[in-house]
Amino acid sequence: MGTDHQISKLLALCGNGDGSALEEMFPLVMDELRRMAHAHMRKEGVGHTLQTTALINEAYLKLINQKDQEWQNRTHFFAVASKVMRHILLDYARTRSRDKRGGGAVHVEFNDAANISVERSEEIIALDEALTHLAEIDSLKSQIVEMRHFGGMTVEETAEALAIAPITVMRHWNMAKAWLRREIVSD
Amino acid sequence: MDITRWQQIEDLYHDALDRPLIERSQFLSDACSGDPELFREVESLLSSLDPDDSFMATPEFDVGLRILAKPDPVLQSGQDFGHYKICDFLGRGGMGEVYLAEDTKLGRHVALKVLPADVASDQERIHRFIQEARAASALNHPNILTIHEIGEADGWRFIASEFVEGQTLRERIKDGEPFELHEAIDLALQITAALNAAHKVHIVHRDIKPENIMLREDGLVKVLDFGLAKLIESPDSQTLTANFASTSPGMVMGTIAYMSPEQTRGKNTEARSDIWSLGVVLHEMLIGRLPFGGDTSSDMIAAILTTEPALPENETWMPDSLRRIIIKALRKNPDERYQAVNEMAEELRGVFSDADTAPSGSFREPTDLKFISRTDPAFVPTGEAIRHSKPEEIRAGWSGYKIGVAFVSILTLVLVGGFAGSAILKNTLWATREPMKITRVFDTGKTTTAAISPDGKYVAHALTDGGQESLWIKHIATNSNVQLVMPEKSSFSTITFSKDGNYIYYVKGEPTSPLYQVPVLGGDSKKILDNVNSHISFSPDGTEFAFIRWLSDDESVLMVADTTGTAERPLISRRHPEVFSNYGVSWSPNGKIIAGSVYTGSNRMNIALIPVDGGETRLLSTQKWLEIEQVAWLPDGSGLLGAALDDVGENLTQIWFFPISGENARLITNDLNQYQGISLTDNADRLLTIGWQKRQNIWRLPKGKSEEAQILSNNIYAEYRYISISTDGRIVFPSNENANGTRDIWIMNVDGTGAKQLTSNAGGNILPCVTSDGRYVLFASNRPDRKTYHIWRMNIDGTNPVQLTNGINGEKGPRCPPDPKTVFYVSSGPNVAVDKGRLWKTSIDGGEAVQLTDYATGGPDISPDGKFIAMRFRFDDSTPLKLGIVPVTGGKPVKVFDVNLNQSLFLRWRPDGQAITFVKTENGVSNFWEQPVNGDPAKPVTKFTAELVLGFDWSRDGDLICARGYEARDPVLISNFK
Repeated sequence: MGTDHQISKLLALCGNGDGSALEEMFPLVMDELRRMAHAHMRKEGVGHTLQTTALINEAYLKLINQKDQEWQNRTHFFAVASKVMRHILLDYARTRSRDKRGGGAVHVEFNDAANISVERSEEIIALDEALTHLAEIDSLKSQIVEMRHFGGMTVEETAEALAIAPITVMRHWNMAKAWLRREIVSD
Repeated sequence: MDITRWQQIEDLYHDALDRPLIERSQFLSDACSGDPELFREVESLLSSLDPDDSFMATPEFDVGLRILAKPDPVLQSGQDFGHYKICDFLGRGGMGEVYLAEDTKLGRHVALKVLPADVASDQERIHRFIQEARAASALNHPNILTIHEIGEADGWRFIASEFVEGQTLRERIKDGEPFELHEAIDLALQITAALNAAHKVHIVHRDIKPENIMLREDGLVKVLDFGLAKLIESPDSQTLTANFASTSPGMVMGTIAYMSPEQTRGKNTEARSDIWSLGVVLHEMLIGRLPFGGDTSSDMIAAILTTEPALPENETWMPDSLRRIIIKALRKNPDERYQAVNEMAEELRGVFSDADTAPSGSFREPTDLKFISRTDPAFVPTGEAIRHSKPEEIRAGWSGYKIGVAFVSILTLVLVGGFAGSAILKNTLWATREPMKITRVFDTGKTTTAAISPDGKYVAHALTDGGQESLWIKHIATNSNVQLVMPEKSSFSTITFSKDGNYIYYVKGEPTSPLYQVPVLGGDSKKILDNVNSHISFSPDGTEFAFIRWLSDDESVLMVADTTGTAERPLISRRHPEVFSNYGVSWSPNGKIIAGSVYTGSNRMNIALIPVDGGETRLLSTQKWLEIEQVAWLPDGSGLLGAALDDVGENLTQIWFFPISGENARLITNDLNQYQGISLTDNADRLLTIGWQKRQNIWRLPKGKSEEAQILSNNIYAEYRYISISTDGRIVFPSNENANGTRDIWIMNVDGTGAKQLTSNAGGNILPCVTSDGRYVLFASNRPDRKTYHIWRMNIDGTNPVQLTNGINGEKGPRCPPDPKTVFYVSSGPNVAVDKGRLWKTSIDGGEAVQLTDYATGGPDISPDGKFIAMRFRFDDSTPLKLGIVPVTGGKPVKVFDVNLNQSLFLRWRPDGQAITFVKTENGVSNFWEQPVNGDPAKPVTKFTAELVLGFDWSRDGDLICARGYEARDPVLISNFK
C-alpha cells in the first residue's frame, strides 16, 4: 500500500477516534512537513514568512489519495499537523531548557532564525502543560488552541476544519486564552 | 470538572464580557449570589484576559517549520563513529555539529565536533588548524579546553575534546543577572591565564568572545577553540565582507564585536589582538553592553576603528584602576595596549589591592570565592547590584564587597575544617568522581628528565640551558626550587629517588654511564657504579636496585646491585634481537618480579616479567607495541604504568595502564602531547612524566648572517626537515607522518601561510628538491606499493608525477644541478642506510642511470657552476663520514676536508660557490658552519645558543632559509588517573 492510501485510511481511523492511527500517522506527517520546510527555506531564505495553511494543504494533498479528499479527512489532517508542530516545538524547547541547566551545554552558536531563547522555551513548556490540562476539561478548546497557535490556522480555517461557526471559534479561543493565561501565571 | 459546571462558567464568562467593563462586577455578583466559588472562578478568568492581547498573539507554526528546516544531524544517537558512540546531538554552529559521545576505548564522555564538509575538504585550512589546535591543547593548561584527538571517521573530520558541563559566558551574560565585580575579574583572570600560556608559545586565539568561554559549574573557566578561528578565516585573509558573505548576519555581528582594529582591517592577528578582545569581554561583563556597538556590521567596524569606549567616570563601583585596564586593553594602536597578557593580569589582580581589599592568596583560588558567594546568599558581596544602583548604594556595594571577602576567608576555613554545609555537600555529590588532572610542573620546555619523590612532595628535575644540564629539586607545596648539581656539559640520563626519599640517584650521559647519588637536601654527589645503562629501580626494602647493562651492541643484562654499588650480580641476559630496552626496569611491590620493556624482534616491544628467584621470563601480554618506555608498578601489583606507542598507528606516545592479567592495556592519557618516563608516589595518587612536543619556526638569515636573523613564521608545528626553496621563494617540505603512515610533500610561503599539498594518497613522499628552473619538484616516493623509494618528478603545482628511476634497491635524495637536465641521487644498497649508498645520475626525464661513485656517499649538493658535487663520504664503514668534493663526472673525491659529518645531514654550496654550508650540533644546539673550498679550516658562521636546525636551503636571493626548533619538554603531574 502506498503512503497516500495509508494516510487516507489512517485519517479515517483517526476520525473514528483510533489513537494508534494518530500515532502511526504522526511521523509520516512530520517527514512531509520537514521535507517541505527544507524546500521552502532553500527557495525563500530564512527571512521569508510562510503561508501556513497553504503549506499544510500542500502537504495534505501530497500525502493523500486524490479520491479520498473528504473534508473530514482534511480536518483530521490539519489537526494532526498542528499536533506535530506542537510536538516539534516542545521537543526543541525542552532541549534548550535542558541546556540551560547544564545537562549538555557546550559551545554552540546557533546561526539560524529558529534560535528560541531559554525564556521562550520555558514559556512553551508551560503552555504545553496548561494545554494538556485544558484538554481534560474542554477538548474542543484545546483543539482550537492547538490549530490556531501551533497549526497557525486562522479563525475561518479553524471553523471550516471543525465545521463550526467562526464566531464559536472566537468565543472558545477567547476563553481558552484567559484560562491558559491564568493557569500559566498562577504557576 | 463537571460539564454543566464548566458550561455555567463559560456562559457567565461570555455574558460578563458582553457587558461594559464598569457593569461586569455588579453583574457577576448578582449572577453568582450564593456561589462565591463561581464568582471567583469567572472573575479570575476575566482578570486573566491579557490587556494588550500579546498572549499567544503570534502562532508558533513558523518557528516550528524553521526547526524542521534545520538539517538533520550527521550522526544519530547510539551510532558508532570510529571508537566513539554518539550519545546526544548537542548543537550546531559555524564550525560544524557538536555531539556528546562516549569514547569506547576509555569509557569517558567527550564532546565531538564534526567539521562541515566544506571546511574539512580544504586541506590547507585543516593543516593549519591541526597545527594550532595540537599546539594549544598540548599546553595542558587547566583553563584551556583539552583536545583529545583530531581525526577522521566515516569520511568526516572530527575533533574530540574534553566534555565540559556548564554554560558559556554568553549564556551567563544572557541570564541578565549583573556580574559581581570580583566574579568578572575572576573570569577575566582565568582567561588571561589561558592566553598567557598560549601566547608564550606564540599561539594566538584570534576569536576571544563569550561564546568561546565556558564556565564550569565549579567556577573553572575553559577557553575553547584555539586555532579554530584560523579555520573560518578565508585562506588568504581577504576582506571581511567576502569572508562573511556566507554566514548569517547575527553571527557576523557576534564575531565582529570582539575584533581588534587590526583584525577588522584584515591584518595579521597577534597576541595583542587577543588582549583587545578580552578588553571587550571585560567591558561587556562589567558595563553590560558592548564598547563598540552598531546596527550593521559596517557601523560596528567603524566604531571599532574610530570611537573610544564610553566608560562611566567617577563611579564608585568602578575602581579607577579597572577603568584604566579596560581603556588600555582597548587602545586602537596595539603598541599602546598591554604588550603581554600577563601585564594585564597583574593589573587586574591589583584592582583589589588598590581598593585595599586584596584577598591576596585566596584570590588565586577564585573558584572558592565564587563557589561560596554563589551558593550562600548570606555571603554574596553586595557589589552584585553594581550596575543598577544609585551612587550611595553603590558605595555600600563596594564596601560590602570587603565584608564579603572577609567572610569568604572565614568560611573557607570553616569548610576546610570539616563543617560541610549544604553548599559543599552539593559540590561533592555533583563531582562523584574527580576527573583526571594533568598539571605542568614547569612550562619552560627545558626539562630533560624528572622524577617525583615517594611521598609526592618533591620533583627532582634536570634542566638544560645553553648546552649545559643541572639537577634541581622543587618542593611542590612552596614552589621553592633548589639546585643540587651545578650545570655541566654532560646530560642527566635518568633520575630516581631512593625508597626512603633521602637520596636522588642519577645516571650521567658520559661514556662510562656512571650512577651517582646526591642527598635530597643538597651535598656532594657520590659515584656509586659505572656502566648503568638504564633507569634504576629499587627493591621494595630499598636495599638493592636493578638496572640494565649493555655488554655489547648485541647483549643486554638485567643486573642487581646493593645501594652502595657493590655486590652486583647478573640476573638474566637477553641477546639481539630480543634485548632489553635502555628505558629501565621496575621492581614489583612484593619483590618477586622485575618488569622491563624489551624488544621482541620485528621492531615490536613488550614488557618482560622476570622472576627475581630465577624462574622463567614471560611476556606480559600478546598485544604488540611500537614502543614501550620506562614502566612502573602500581603498589597493589595489579599492573604497570608507562608511556607507550601502540601498534594501531596512533602516532603519539601516551601513558597506558598494563594490567598484570595480560588483558589489553588501557589508555590513561589521550591528548596531543607525547609522554616519556614515569615515576609514581608511594600510594600512587600521582604520577610524574615528561610531556613533550616539537616547536619550530622558519628563519631567514640574510646572506647567511645570523646577527640579522629574522623569524618568518608564526610558530609552526610540523617538521621542516629537508626543505627546498622554490624559485619564487616558497618552501617545499615533506609533512610529518600522516595517520595512515604516509607522508606528503607540501609547499607554503615562508611565513607559514598559503600551504598547499602537492601529493596525496600516494604512499610516502620525501626529500623534495625544486629544480633550478623552478619547474619541477624532484622527490623520493615509495608509491605505489609503499615498499621501495624511487626518484619521481612532478610539476611545481603537484600535477603530472613521473617516475624517473626503478632500481631494485631503490633510490633517494635527488638533487638538481644548475642546468636542469640531469638528476643526481643516491641509491642505497639492500637493507642499508643512505650513508652506505652510491652516487648516481640520470636524465630529468628518467632513462639510463649512471653510477658515479663506488664508495659510501650521501647528502650530495651540486656547485653553483655545475662542475662539482659536495658530499659526505667514507671509504671504510668504521671511519667517520667526511666532507668531500667530487667532479660531476664522478670518481674519487678531488678534495677532502677534515670535517666530521656523522651528525650532519645537510650540505649546501654557498651561492657564491666559495664554501660549503653545513650544520653542526653540539649539546643540543645547532649552528651553521662553512668549509671554504680553498681548504681553510671550517668555521662557525652563526652563534645560536639554543635550538636545533632541522632543515635549511639557500634561497635564490642568496638568503639562508632554515627551520629551527626544539623539543619542549616539561614535567607533568597526573592525578586521579586510576
